Amino acid sequence: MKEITPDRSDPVSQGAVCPKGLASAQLLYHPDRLTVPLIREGPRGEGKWRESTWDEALDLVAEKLSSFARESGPESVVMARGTNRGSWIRVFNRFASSFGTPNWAESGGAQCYAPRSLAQTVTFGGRALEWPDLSNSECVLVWGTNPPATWPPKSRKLMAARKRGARLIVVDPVQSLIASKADAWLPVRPGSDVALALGFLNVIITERLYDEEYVRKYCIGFDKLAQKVLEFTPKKASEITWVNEKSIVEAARLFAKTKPSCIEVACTLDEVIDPIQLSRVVSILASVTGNVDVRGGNVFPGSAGQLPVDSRAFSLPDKIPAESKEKRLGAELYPLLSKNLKGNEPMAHWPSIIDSVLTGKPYPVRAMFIMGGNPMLSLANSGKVREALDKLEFLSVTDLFMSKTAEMADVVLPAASWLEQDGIVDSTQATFGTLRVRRKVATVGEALSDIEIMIRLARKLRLGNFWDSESDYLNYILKPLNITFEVLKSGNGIIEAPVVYGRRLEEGFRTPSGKIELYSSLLEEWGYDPLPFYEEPHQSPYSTPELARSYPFVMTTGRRVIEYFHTGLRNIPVLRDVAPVPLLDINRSTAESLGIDEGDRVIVETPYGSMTLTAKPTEGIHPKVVGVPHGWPDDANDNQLTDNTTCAVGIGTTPLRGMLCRVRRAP
Amino acid sequence: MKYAMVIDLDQCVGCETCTIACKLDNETGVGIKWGRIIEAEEGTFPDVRRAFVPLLCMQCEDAQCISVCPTGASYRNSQGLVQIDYSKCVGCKYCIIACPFMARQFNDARDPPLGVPRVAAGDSRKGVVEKCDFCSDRLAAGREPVCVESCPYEARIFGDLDDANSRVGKLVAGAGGVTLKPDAGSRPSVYYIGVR
Amino acid sequence: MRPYPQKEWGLTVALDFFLGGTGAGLIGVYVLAAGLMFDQMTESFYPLFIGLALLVMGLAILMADLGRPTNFWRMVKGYRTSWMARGSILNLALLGSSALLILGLSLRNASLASVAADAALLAAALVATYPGLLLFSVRDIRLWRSPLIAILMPAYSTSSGLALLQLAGLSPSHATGSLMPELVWVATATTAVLSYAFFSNSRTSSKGGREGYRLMTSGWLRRPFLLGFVAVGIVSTLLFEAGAILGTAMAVQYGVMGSLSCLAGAFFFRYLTLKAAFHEPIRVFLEPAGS
Repeated sequence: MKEITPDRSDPVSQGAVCPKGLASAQLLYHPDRLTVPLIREGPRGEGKWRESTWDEALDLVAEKLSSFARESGPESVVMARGTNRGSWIRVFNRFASSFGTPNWAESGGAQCYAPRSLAQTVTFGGRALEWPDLSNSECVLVWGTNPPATWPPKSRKLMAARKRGARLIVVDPVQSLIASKADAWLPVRPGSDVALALGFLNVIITERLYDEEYVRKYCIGFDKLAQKVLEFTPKKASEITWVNEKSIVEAARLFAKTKPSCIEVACTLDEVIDPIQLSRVVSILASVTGNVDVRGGNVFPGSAGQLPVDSRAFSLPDKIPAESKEKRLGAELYPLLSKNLKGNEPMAHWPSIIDSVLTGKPYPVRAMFIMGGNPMLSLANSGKVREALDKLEFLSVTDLFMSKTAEMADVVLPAASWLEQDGIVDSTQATFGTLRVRRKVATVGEALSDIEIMIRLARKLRLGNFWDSESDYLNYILKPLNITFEVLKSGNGIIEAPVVYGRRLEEGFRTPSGKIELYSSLLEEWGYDPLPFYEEPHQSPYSTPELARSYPFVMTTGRRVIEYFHTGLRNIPVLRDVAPVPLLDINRSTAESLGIDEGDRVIVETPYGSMTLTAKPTEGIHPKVVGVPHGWPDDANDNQLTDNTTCAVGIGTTPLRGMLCRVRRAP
Repeated sequence: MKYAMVIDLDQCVGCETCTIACKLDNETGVGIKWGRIIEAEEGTFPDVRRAFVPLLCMQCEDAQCISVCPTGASYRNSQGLVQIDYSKCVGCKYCIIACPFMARQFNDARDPPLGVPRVAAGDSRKGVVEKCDFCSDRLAAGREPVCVESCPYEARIFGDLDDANSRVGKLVAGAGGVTLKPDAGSRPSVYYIGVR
Repeated sequence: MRPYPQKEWGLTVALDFFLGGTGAGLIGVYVLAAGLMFDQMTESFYPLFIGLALLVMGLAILMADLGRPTNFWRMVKGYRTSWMARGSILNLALLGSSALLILGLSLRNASLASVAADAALLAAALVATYPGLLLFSVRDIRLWRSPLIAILMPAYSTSSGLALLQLAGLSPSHATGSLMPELVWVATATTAVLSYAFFSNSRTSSKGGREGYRLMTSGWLRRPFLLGFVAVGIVSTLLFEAGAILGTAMAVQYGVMGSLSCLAGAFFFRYLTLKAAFHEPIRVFLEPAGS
């Protein structure tokens, strides 16, 4: 592979490339790529490996996993993965179910997508917040996400809307790339977003800026909601969120009065201690302003017509043996995540998994099979994670490189990158429902695609519900379209998914009442507050003033830069050269008062641990707030700062934003 | 032939895709950026204004780098582009100092961080000064400079000012394009619009 | 955006300018003095060797600073527009004419020595001056855009040359009747006045100039400036030379200290001129925020 160039004719990207994609050759041919399966020799973590064949390695994995399943039940094996925009992650769920373990987990999960997925489902029976109809919108409210650094094709549509005259409101503690282009920037105190949204609702409702007809026809619970938000005057919201009262009022008015308007969100809604509330109130904002399922608002994804892999029919949770199914770790404390309820693929709760490994309660987890995930860096409380991985009797890790997690493994399996596999990409998040073909252009060592690895392993484990080959799988997905993968690949490889507006308005929303539930009957049924409410974060200048004396700054973690994706790519030359070090966003006057200059090494500490990074003083952040990036290894790992013992009610999120910290210059 | 570029600062969102695309295409070494983005910030929290300004070789009509070069390594080629003949450069760095636009950098073949492999191609220019060459090879092949092509927001427009139909000419005149540091008197060929 | 400093030329280039300028200054002052018939000097012309040695040292340091020293022979090709290329040619001329002068004096060939002396004097004057013109050519660094810089360079070369001669000529038989301390005193006072005008002008001339001035008076350059340049380079030179002028018992020692301080001042001038050099800022926002 020689060159990667933008393709302006592509319907999804319109030529907007991501530099990580452009740098793919440096990933493909990187000297440190894993190329053959490795089996550990010597003590764990020492880095001594012997090369082996796929058969030997997979035989070992199969033998180990089966033996644990036999001895302690399949629930003693945890299958964990990272995130992805292809379909292998759904195949992974099917693999876990077929094996029989209820304990599949995702590094994101409760910290990404699960909370807002649930909140949107109980509110409007679908995930409309994921789909702002940017091209047709007149006002975009960007909540905490930074598309220019995280999602170039979507960002292109956003900037095009802006150029066309659409107004832009950005909520973010830091004046991010997109916030720099906004008509209004609301620097919310990390962790207090719900108060800001309730403040918006207060303005919109008391000034009667909501869409009365839409609310009357399509929503239930408005009166109760209106009553609830009365107390959240702009003044109160301003005091809580540290945002100007005037800005709050003007932004609320702008969003409600401009039509149509839409809301752009991402995992910022999930990484807090009250993620359900936040996604609920943001969903409600879109709803009362009459912007759900309308052109230019937040819409429901279309489909190209292929087999939906994002469904229980595909992931087969019913294949889990009955007695194991009820044992999913986290089901008791975090039913919204781990119990079989509506709106989610139930998954195991990572902190509960860690506890099980370390304490053996409620039962010991003995082995893990990890694909495309790096829990050592991605999960809160890295120290505990390390302890747990070390204690496992068996760990298999599949990755492109010897990640921090792979270093702890007994078996390391080399994965193929996107250029090394044929495939289908149809993630509604990535391609807006459009189905597209991925073509293999290279081979690196003996690396195999994740799906191929699972197919082979399924064969060795004698699991049903799997295919003979990857192309069989691809054809299986395409069956409803009456086309084979080869035929699709021979053409331009794209099947579009047109957006349909107003279908749910007409047919009813997929909620118990058939309407948008501002007052959620499902939450009420499950024993949670049916209306959104604000609670001060468990750790804040107001809820823990004593702690705030030693840790005076409010911290947001997980700041993104375009060069990296989560914990990966720090070893790619061009990307590392442009973003060589992790940067701390810190207010200029604050930095000056602490004797910190631009480029100085600084230490950020919380009661749980510390990290070292480089200071970037800016006026684009509140003097009492700092912004920390995510995904760096060793002493720059931000999950040394985070805690996994206090988790969000019901859904089990480990909060990653809105905690307290202190900052000092490194000696 | 009078190549020029127009950069729309209203569209530039500081994503650095162009910086990275340029580095990939030209295989530059550690710390070397032929094109870069600088961030300009004004005001105090929360009334802050921020702009992202792409910089590159401005292809000045009165190129100071050419005047000061003692060896003739910096010269203007047949496409009218200011270029460096690396074989003639002695690495005195006078041109770096003379350039008002931070376009030039000395190649000291720096090591990448631990775990990051070297981009060997950039080492061939060890000891000399390098800069953006306006993708003269791509221009000769009828393509656009890689920074122009890779910008997701089409913030960069490229063309020939001698061509009456070209967008650049119209944009410079119509949209009030300005050059940076006009007091330096170099008469750059890169114009900026969308400046507020 | 703020003014930003030039970062390419530092200690080595400052040394190169200092050694080259001092070597040229020594040769030039010596030849001039010899022309004014200070007979004791023409008897032993070892200052010429010292001057030549300083020039060569300067060039050696320059070579060490070049990225591709093997290409140094190309450094004359740009003479049409480049003061650096012209300077290379002038350095060659000075080296050549000084060598010829030494040859002429050794062989006691008066006509050769005479012609070589004229050539060397001219070359020395130009070598002393061209660094100022080289810096002046950089339009974007306003500190260097003062005509004073083209005067200060040869002025420092002159005072350094005199200081070295004072050092060289200070043997008991030459101590009496020598006007060296006075000459050094006057030269140092002159460069001090010119430097004052030069640096204080930069404070008001431009944003970059102001930044450089701030760096020298309250930033990291304040030690080189206040201690090295002002205290040692100007004040102690004037004091020591005054002591030597007053002809006390310690006159010789004061003369030595004065010369060394004078040389230090000449070095610090080049160093500060390079390190306090700021580019003008790249202005992005044309109107102030809120307008």
